[in-house]
Amino acid sequence: MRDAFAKSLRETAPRYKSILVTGDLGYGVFDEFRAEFGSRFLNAGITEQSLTSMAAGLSDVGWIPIIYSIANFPTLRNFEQIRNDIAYPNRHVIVCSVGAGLAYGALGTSHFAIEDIGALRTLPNMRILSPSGPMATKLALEDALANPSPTYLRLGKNGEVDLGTEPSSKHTAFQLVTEGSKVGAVMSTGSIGLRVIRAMENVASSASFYSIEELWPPSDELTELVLSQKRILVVEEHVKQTGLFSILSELIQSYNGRTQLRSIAVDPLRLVVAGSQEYLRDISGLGDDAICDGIGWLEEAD
Amino acid sequence: MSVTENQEKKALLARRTLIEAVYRAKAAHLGSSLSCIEIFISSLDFTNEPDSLIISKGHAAAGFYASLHANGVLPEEVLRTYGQNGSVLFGHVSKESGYGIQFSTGSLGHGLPFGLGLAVGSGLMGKTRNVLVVMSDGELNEGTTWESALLASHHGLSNLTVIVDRNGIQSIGRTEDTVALEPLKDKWLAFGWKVIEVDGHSFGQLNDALNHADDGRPTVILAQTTKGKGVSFMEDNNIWHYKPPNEGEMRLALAELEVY
Repeated sequence: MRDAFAKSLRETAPRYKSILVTGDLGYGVFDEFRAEFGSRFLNAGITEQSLTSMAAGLSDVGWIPIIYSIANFPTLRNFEQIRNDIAYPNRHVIVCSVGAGLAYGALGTSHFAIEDIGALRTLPNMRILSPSGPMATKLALEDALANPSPTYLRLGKNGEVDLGTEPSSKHTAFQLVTEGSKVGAVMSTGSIGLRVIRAMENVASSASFYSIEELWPPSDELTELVLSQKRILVVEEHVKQTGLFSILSELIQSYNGRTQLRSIAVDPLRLVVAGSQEYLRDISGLGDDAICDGIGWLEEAD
Repeated sequence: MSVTENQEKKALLARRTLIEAVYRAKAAHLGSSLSCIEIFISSLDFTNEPDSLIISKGHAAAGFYASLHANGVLPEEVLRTYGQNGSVLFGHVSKESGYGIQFSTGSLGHGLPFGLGLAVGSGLMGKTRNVLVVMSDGELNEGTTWESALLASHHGLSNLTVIVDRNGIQSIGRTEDTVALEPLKDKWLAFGWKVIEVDGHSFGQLNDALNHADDGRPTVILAQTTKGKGVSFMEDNNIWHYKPPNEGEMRLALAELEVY
């Protein structure tokens, strides 16, 4: 997703007054963008707090700043700067974090990004886009540039593949990845969707699978989709509280109160040993077995 | 009337309306506001783009409102709403108020990096703005101050000026007893800034400093001030960071300001 973001940044640069403000990360990633649009690449050093307020200033003189760093550095380290200087005054600044969930998990708890959705969606005016793959990333960046609101772009790392059903021209609130025959559905966000596809194939599930590409605020389309389900299994690389499961719970409680939800999410207390993203997913609650169990619960709905 | 005589007149009016406003609102931060009246008025007179003036010392809001009023920007009937329900005037400087205020502050350490963004971004747009940021000395404790000091110097932002209201007192104690700032001039020089030291209650010195020559560096004006300036029993006394005056204190203060 990182390379798709960099490519899309370069492709969209002639059409938008974008300016990349990095917290000294993205080694080599933006070389082509820099070659073509050098002055619009600002390495502000390791100053997540200052560079966020600085982005607010850049916005006021006509730029669309994209602040860029990894994991929780551009979302939690600088949370108050996002709150005071971007979200409340409704400035068109894009907060881009690479390394959603446990993508940088091997580097330790400092590099987990599993509370970010919850933190940022408490802020007024904030949109959260959480693309599932490279094509969705490209479309999400376009959407974030075109829509003059503060936007959090939650990206995976690199090497992800598309879920296979991406539209080619326009960002959508969600993708129907697998159309099933049952009323129950699996919903996930981000690159964990590939694991969901694998688990569904393993148990020959006939449920539908939706990848939620736009988390916050919940779109009308998502609301309608959620309320039309009997059961939803939510799979997310985030803690259970405040993430996608919570968003859907709030929707259901606000409307029909009937759709049943089950959560497959990260339990941070289990993350006491090091390992790859796949390994950490396995041990923290996002293992294939857990997802398959959840799918079994969906199948019971009939 | 000379420029500075006119400014002195505005400062006297601002101090009087400030004390009345804080008395009516039963608000805090009177001492912090009294120390930077000359800084506010000279800054407002200097800048021709109000949205390029950032009051990072947001707790001196009442002092800024009184200065905006003395400069003919904020109507008296609006100033009189300070502290009332439904007023557009918050206890800290806020964008929602209007009157040219472009940036909300109140959490210290936000104004300088925001000003940095205006200064860098306007230059890249080819429409360089002269950006002025007013900070408190206690605010220099914040890490973003020094992150931004590095960045401004690195980018050679000669269009960025900071004025530090150096009244020597922060929230619950003297700056030098809390987290010592001195030698402050040397610190800014070491960060690559041009440093101008002035008497922060002298319009002549403030005006000259604001009109300093561009030498390719960002500039900090260290303005030596007195917290609670203008009212003898409020000067250099930290209780007025918190306490609003009662009616008797308000009358005593106004009486002193007739001859000040």
